[in-house]
Amino acid sequence: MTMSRCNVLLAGIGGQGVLTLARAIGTAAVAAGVPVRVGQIYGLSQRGGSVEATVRVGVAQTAFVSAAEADVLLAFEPLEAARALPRVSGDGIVLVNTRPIVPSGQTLRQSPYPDVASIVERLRLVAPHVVAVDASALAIHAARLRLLGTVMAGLLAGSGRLPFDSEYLRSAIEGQARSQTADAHRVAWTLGLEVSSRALADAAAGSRIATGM
Amino acid sequence: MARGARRENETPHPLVRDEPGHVELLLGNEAIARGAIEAGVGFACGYPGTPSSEVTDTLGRVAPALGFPFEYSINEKVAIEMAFAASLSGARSIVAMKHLGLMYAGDPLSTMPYVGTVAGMVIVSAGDPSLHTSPNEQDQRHLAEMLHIPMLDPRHPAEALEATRFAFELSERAHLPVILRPTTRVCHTAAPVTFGPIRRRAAPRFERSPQRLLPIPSNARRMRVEITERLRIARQMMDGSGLYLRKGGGTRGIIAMGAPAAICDELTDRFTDERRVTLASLATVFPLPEDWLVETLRGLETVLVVEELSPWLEDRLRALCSLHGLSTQVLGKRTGHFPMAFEYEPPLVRDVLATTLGIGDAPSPTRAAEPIAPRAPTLCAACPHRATFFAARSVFGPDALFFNDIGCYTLGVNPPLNAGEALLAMGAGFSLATGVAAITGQRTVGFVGDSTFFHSGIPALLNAIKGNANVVAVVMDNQVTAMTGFQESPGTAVDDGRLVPAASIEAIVTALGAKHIEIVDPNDLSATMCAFGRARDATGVSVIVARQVCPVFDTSVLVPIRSRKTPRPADRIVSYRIDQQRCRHCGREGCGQRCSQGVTLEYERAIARARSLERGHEAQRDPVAPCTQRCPLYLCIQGYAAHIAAGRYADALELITDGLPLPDSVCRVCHRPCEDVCVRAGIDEPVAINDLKRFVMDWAAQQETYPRQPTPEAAHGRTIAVVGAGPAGLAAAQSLAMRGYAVNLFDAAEKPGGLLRFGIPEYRLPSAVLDRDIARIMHLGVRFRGGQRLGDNLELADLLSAHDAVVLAAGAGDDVLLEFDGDGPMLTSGLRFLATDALAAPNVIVIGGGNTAVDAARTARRRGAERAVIVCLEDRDTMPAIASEIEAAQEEGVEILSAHRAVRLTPAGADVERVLCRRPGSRDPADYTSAGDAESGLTAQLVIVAVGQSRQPLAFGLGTGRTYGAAPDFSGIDPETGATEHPRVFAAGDLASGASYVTEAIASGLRAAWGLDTALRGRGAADRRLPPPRASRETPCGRSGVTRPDRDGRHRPPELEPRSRVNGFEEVTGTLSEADARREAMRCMICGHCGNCNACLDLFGCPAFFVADGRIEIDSQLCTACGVCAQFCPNGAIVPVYDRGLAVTSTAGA
Repeated sequence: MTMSRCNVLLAGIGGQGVLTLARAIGTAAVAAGVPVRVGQIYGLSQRGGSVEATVRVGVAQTAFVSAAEADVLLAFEPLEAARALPRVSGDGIVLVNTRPIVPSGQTLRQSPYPDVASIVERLRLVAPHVVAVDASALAIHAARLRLLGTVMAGLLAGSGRLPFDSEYLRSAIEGQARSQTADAHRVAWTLGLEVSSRALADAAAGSRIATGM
Repeated sequence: MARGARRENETPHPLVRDEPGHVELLLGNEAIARGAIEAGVGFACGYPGTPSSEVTDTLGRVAPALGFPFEYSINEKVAIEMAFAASLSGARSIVAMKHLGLMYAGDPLSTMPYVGTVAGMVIVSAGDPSLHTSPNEQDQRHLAEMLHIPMLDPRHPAEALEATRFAFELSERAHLPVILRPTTRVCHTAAPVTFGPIRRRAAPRFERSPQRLLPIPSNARRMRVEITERLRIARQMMDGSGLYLRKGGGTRGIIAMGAPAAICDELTDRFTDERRVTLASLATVFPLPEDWLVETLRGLETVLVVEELSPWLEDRLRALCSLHGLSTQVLGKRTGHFPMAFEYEPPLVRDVLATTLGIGDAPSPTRAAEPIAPRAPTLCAACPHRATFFAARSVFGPDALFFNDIGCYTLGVNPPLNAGEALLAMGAGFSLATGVAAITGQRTVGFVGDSTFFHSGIPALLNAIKGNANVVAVVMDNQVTAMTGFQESPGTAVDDGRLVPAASIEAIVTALGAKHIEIVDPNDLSATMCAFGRARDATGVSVIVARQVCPVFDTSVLVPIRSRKTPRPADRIVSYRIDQQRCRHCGREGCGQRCSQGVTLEYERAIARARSLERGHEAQRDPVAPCTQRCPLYLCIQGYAAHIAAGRYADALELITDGLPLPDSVCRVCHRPCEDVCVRAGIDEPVAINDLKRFVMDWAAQQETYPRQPTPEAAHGRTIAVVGAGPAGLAAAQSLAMRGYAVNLFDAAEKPGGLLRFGIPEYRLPSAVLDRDIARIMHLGVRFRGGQRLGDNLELADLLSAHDAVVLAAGAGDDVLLEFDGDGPMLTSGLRFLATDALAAPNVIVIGGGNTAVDAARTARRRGAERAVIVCLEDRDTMPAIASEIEAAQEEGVEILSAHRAVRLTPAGADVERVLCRRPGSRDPADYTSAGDAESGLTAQLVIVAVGQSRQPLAFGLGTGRTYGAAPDFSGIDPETGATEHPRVFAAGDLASGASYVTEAIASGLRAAWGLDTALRGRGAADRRLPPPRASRETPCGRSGVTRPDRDGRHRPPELEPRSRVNGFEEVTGTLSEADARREAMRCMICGHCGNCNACLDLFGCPAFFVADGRIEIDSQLCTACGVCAQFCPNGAIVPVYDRGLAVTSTAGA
């Protein structure tokens, strides 16, 4: 499915690579000659706080993605997916890493982290398509956790929602990477891409299947 | 980050491409940097502050390639002056900061328009509506008119580039600096930006022109007039700039300024097809294009003003309408259509457009968001200054007031560190702490980071020193400006990829005149806490420089530079993990002694502080502290010491009285085996454990209502007879009453207390104190019947028929009386002497080396004896009496003839001879033989024999064929339960185990009560109150290798003057003062594990910690192996993980 516009909301935690991936999507759009705005609010994000970025591909003057406006939610962490959920549109797609990171404030109060499966169920109530996968495990499988952003980029590419050829995104990510790690990035990208394209193909075939749970 | 992390063979930065027409995705801030590059900037500087930092970070990166100087200045005022200097020198300059910094630079800024710029000068002051990363949101637009400085407010990133380039032209032509005021949504939105050509720079040179550059009043008056002309030029230039534009049409209109203009643009693009609207928007703030605005307003019936923060434009539009007689209705904040605070987002603007102008969609209801657990930012895992805050709070206590800094350390205000009472501005941590201390006398600690120290901390500190304030000033030096992205400060040891010498904070502090300066590594908790301790005890200004590099900066910048020279150690610690066998595991739990106390922060702080002060914390340790192992009652000594250190005396009381039925007496007469094995003894002196207990008991006695009311189990109708009301019988009676039994307590004497009442003199244990203990036991419902002697007027068979079971605790009975040859002075036993007030003589010999002997000699002195001599077999060092009692006796004039024995009594007294011991320390007389020296004679009218007690001369049968008590044979009594061969008779105290110390007798009573309860109700009920295990005589491991740098001798309670003591029976030893008790309690090393500890979560709050399935865990991905937590973990449960994946622990089961 090719759309002329796409609002991508990226949600995660400082240090996971959210901003880096948002920038890569923007760079890819510029290379593809598509208008784009990339928004990021940070400052305290490196200190373990929530961090989000928005990418609006297609005609846009601002980078705001407001309530029910995100065509794709790319969530690096399940609790952050839940936080961003009200902004997912009625026909949106959620690509969520199921590996939880317990907030330190939560630890402090010793209240339990919500059950990941129930978070995913909540996502399904809003979004028709949810791909839930332990992307952190895929990144570690590819080489190391630092590649999480590339796995998430692969998931996005496999979703088919980007209104430009995903090769632009792949080369934007390779452009950010050091040459020694290019192979590992390629592996991480492919792992993510295969998971989401297979899951969505299965869903199209009639079953809404989440992988990796 | 600025200039530390450049890689070798780095590709040229995209912003230096001289390729007009090239399109690049740039943040608004990067677009500003590119605009400066295209304008041929010749100098750039600033002070980092979100959301402005990428302007300077980017310019810093490209400056070497483009050949212009760049600096992060000390502060914004200096930065603006540096930029102005460049302008006066003919170099175009740009200076960037956040909105707060512009206020700091207000002084030079306000005179700049008078002097005027030479080359173009642009000041970037990023605003932060909605306070994303700032303590306030301020509308800098108000400054422009006041300062006479043109101001631009770009609407989107691409315009930020154009506005910057234009600002340089404007500044140069109008001879005014120009302020560029982007807001967060422009700074941090990236968009495709088209490059223009890069202008060539001329060589800079400062040309003298005093008339033009010196605003002394005579010149400044002329300059003031010139400013008006300069602003006229500025407005003229703006008219042709394209920075304001109008589109659409119709009588309804929108006028928008800055970032919200882009929202309006997008919304009207979507909606104007339906109904027409005029959209006018501006990127210029001052001077306003008044003619253009009047022209816009003239065609409109209604105009909606869309601007963030204050109604700045709205007010000016209304003034223009009034001035020009226009009837346009102006809607905005003043009319209540927009809020006064915070940034605008598209849904808000869309809703207001629909409701006021009737264009676009009607407001749509939004789904209510479900509450999601917040994920607040926190100091990084491994931030060394979490340890600084932790140490400061540990030392200064919960009442000290902390005043904190802007930056990373602001995060310290959050729980659990709570390091911040008030927050104001850079450097204000020092000034607020100084001011509050000066005005209130309260204890304050001020904190600033290293960057802040240089930025504005120095004058605040100098002010404190000059005023001789009583304040502790802490510089948390992580050697970089970390919060905003690792920009260099003068304390940063890296510049442009090379290691350079850093400015010395301590040298500056010394030069300021501070007398007390210490430099510590906060990752060394012990040293840091000692340094804070010295600062706490000092007066005047104490400066602590806590220095440890930011680990993120270290890893990303310093390590790559250093690693060219130094190889990584092969066998290093990569993270820490929790040893679950120790974490929250009470050492006494194995014996069922775990307390039921809830944890308090003060308690956790006390136990964590004790461990933090240690060195060698990884040394071998037992789960149970040595003192507890040796305590016959297995009391949690470290627990009550920690409660006392924390000032929580009621909690200490609970812990003591839960395990000890006669606390008021024991805290006076205990033989203190705990102190013999105290680990602290290896450092200076053992902790005064019994004095601490005494402090708590005397504190409790002074409270209006007794702070601890025990709650016995409900009565279940079973009745027990306890024979003997000495320590063992009283303990058994108390424990049984707590277990719900009805207890009848019998004793031969008329009053309960046994040896405590009749064998311990008043000056050691006042009877009023003993009565307190007994009253509490009687209060549980125990009924006492005196004058009842077993075998005399009390028969076991009768007791058994009237009770469900019997506890025999009738004591060891009379003293052994030695047989002597010859006639001599009067002979009596120690206990009989103590119990009979009338016995006295001018010269007294006491035979024996135990407590009864010492008590007898001291009592003899009080009854008027001129000379009292103790003759004992043992050496002075091996006498069984309590050492401090022996010392006290000597102080009172009692003579001690150790290693001697009495050979015979003589009419004058006794002959004695020196003895040798075959087995040193033996208490068996058979091991002592005559040394062969000449005998000598001692004068005495009274000889007191105190060499131990016999078994009660009482023999009784239980119908089992065995006779008890006839011989020193305890084999028929189970020492764990007191069970005898009769299923309903239990024995306790000396009767069960031979003469022993008071605490051992009490423990025996508690064991008999448990044994009895087990027999009558079963283990399930009995085990709710497990008795102490029998104390080990083996020496505990004692944690060899542990030291503490804080030498602090034992605190001693007050004592009566020796000379006045012998005049009466007043209690000799007093109580520790509260201050001394708390200091003494802080000496405790907390050698055992605590099951109530959550110190890592409750006090430290490192984000690497989390709780899963009720267990504390460490996330190895977040842990950077700083090891601070392992230094304070009271249980030693945090253990290293090495590179090879092997964990090393000192207990089994790793």
